[in-house]
Amino acid sequence: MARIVVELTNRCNLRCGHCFVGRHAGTGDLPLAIIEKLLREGKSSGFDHLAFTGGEPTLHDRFEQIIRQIAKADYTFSLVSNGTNFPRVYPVLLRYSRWFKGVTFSLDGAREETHNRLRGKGSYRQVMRAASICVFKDIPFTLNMVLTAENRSEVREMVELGASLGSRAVRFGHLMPTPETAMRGLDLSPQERLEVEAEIWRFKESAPILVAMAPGYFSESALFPCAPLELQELNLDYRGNVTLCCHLSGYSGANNDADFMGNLSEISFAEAVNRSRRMVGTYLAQKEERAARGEFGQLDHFPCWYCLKHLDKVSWLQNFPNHPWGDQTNSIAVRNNDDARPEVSTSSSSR
Amino acid sequence: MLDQKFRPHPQVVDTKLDEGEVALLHLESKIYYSLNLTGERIWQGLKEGLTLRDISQRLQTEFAVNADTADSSVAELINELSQQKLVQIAD
Repeated sequence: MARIVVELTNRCNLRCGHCFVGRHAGTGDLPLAIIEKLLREGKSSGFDHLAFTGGEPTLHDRFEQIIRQIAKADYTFSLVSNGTNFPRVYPVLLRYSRWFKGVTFSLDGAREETHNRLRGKGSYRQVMRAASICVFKDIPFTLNMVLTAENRSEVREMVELGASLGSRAVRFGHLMPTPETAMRGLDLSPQERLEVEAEIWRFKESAPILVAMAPGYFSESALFPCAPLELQELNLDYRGNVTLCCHLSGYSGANNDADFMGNLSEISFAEAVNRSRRMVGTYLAQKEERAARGEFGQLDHFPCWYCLKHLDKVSWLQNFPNHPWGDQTNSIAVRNNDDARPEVSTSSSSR
Repeated sequence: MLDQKFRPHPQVVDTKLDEGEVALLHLESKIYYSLNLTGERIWQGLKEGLTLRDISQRLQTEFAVNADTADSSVAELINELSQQKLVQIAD
């Protein structure tokens, strides 16, 4: 069965340097009526898991009520959290542990100073407190690091930290470049991405815990099969908008309509799934044609980058003439000797 | 010893759990520890800057134990916490 990534709220209690400014403007919570509709209609379209993101999803005013309704409707759920509110909400998760599949904590530095520089003073220890609760209450948790220029040298430490803390996995994901991240110099160049990916694939082989990369890494295949493009995942934002992918939702300074399927207050979930199916079909056909015509550049092998470009969400790069992703002739040295590189990975929903 | 003050090591993160327990995580060793209800009261006293004698007196009141029992409970735990570098002598 497939899953729906649900942005429960776009409110957040942190102001992270690499976050989508517009996405987390603190303007609202997903209405309960939308959640109820989703629970009524989701399973008949083949969706039975809700992955909560935000903002900070645990800040939704009706968090416990939502979890109770999910359990009653017999959906499973998981969440991505910054950990700050975890001491308050974990009893709720324990009460509904039969349906709860685990929590992913955003940790953007193996070192306290690195994480705090991106996410704010004291935030590293909040994640450590949340991890402590998970260990003593037997709650499955994983750690997620968004790769930036500030933490790219901490991959090994991050894996070691995850293993020491009792995390079931450490997952890495590429930063989606935005004007804000460009101004802060956080974006890795394509070449830097490849280098850090190679490091991650190496650690993956020997790490004592699962090490994974969220989709978005370099793929030889022009048709990288991420979960949204395989129709195994849809995104629902806090306004009730169904969109293709959580990575694109609320993308800063973007063409927001490009991946918009409709609002659940106006259309059925089945109709949103049908629209998604049509959009993905067109998208993949166009992508295949481009590849066949030899119009596929090296950078296009980073699937999320291709989506951003194809969906007209990176015109802001014109304002950053020296940005490493602005030059489409950018040549990168691709190594093909990496047997550990997977072609398929589970999807990510966190930043 | 009972007139000394100890404080949590700066590299220790403490987390209050339900049922009065406290989880401790040393950020350098990455080792977790747990304190039971009595340990939690002692830890809380350290955080408040109390002397070990003050903490012992608090235990006597809260748990209805005699001074010898409370003193030895405090001393034993502080020794253990010191060995694990979870506390340090306060200036």
